[in-house]
Amino acid sequence: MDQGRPRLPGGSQPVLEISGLSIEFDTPRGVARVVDDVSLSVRSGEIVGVIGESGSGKTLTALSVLGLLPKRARVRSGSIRLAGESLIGLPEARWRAIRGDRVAFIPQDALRALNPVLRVDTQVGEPLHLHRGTPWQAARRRAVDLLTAVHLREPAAQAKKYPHQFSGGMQQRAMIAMGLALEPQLLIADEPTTALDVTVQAQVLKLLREIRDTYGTSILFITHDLGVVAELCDRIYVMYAGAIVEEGPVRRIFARPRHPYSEALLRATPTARSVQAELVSIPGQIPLPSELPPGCRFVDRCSVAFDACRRDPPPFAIEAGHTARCWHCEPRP
Amino acid sequence: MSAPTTAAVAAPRSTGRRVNWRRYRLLAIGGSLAALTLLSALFAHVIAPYSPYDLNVAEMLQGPSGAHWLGTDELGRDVLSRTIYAARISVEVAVVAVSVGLLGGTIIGIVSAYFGGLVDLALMRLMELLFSFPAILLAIVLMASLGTSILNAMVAIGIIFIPGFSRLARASTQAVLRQQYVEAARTVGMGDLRILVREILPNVIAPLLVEAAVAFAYAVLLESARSFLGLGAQPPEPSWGNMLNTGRGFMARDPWLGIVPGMAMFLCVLGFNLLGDGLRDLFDPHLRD
Repeated sequence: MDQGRPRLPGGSQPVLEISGLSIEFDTPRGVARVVDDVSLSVRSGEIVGVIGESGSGKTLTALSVLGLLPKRARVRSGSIRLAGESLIGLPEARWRAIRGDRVAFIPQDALRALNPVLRVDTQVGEPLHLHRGTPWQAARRRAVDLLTAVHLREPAAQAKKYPHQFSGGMQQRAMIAMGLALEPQLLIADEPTTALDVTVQAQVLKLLREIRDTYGTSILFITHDLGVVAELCDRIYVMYAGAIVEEGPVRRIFARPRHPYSEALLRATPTARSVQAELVSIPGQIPLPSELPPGCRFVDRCSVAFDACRRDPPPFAIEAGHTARCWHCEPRP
Repeated sequence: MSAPTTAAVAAPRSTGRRVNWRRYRLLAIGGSLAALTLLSALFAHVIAPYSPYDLNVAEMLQGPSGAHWLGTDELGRDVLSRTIYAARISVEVAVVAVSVGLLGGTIIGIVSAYFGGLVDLALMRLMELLFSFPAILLAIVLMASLGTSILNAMVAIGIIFIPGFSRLARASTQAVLRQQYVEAARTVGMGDLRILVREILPNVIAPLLVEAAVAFAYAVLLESARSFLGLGAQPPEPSWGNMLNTGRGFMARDPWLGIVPGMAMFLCVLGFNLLGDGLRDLFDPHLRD
């Protein structure tokens, strides 16, 4: 039946496959392309990181997978496939069936993402009621199991509390429990640890890895924090000004970043080992989508820019599964 | 010895288990007066010592006495009994009017804020149109076109309340819409209706309930004003408004005829206003200890 598309061997079938995705905004000053020709894939049981500064388009890319782009934004071109099924152009009712059931979203600020007037067990069990029609009582009982699975202490007692009675880490655990309710194929986490203390952060990351190991859930992890990426992800995509500039296995990129932007990002991350006199920063700031320089979008801030950078570089393969969009990576003839 | 220990264990976050009466003062006073009005209305037939309709010309215009605590009126009817029975019509009108206003205003306000754009524009202009009429005038116009039945009076007063409730609901909804939990509800796959009912309504209801208590007091006043003008409850049906109007003629010789229904109205309106203030304090998270 499926002759057109060669099936990948089991286990490496991509759960999420975005290809050539471009998203545009209508602004008073014209059309702004905020996500430009982005392709990324998440295989079954894989944790994939997308790193970038604010304004790099990483959150919009994530929201497009849920069909929740802001009203002014629209997908210009490209495709999004969830386990082979094309998502773009689906009617709203089909989107609603996917959200929370097959794709769960974990937001940055868990407290603000929880309804302040509903008890935690009601909210954690809500997806069950919504998608499966589980009666409320059973959904709330299941919520306690889920809270146990995310290692909340005294889950039965805590389940009856209101979100504001939880600590930040507990709130994030509750959000993750809610995301797990229907055992989705894909979990999208948008900077879920940014609002947390470092120690709590580590616990939440450990929990996410455990979820992947237990349920085989694929995770798309959006962040600007390289430390978190190093700890959690299998592969990463580095985004800059709406485009992916480098992708590859996390170890390779950390050991040897090939795009000057990735390199600068790594250098700008303070580490315990290196004694830094002062914090390193990348000069300049991320260009507005309407004011992209011609050619390579990083050219204005790049310390190693040369003549070739006036043209937009294609992704050059460096090794298997590792590419960078920089003319310095062009294979020498 | 054990008492302070248990108190400390039971309430680890506050300093003691003591109820802070100062905080609930308004709620307690307002609630009692409001309850008094509501109970009088509900159980008038039990509480009232006499029938409000029975004439007794032999005992007309008597001052307060052991038999008639608050005296009798110009037809010899017991003033206390009539005042108690009169609570019925006030409460009846206010309950229906506030329900109409609360329901209509909340739906219009939430829908307006949630869908925005043209829907918002059209609904809010309509509300402003209603708002621009003086309340009493609007009530009289509505009744002139609908007829002067008691049901029409209730609906007319209710319609007057709709713009106020709708603006409040709209403003609260706009604030809630900016909250992430509404966005989060979408990521779980909730549709518009479910988001409106489960995420938005419970988060905007508190200020609306405060407004409802105050509107209740206002409805009582409006109903009394109408009765006073002879547009509301018709004699012999007792209402605070028409009793006050009758009392007006006897102000110099038999002042209790006017003072008693006036006081009843005053206490009722005061009670519901205080109840509103008390509820506001109760719901305000900044005043929570």
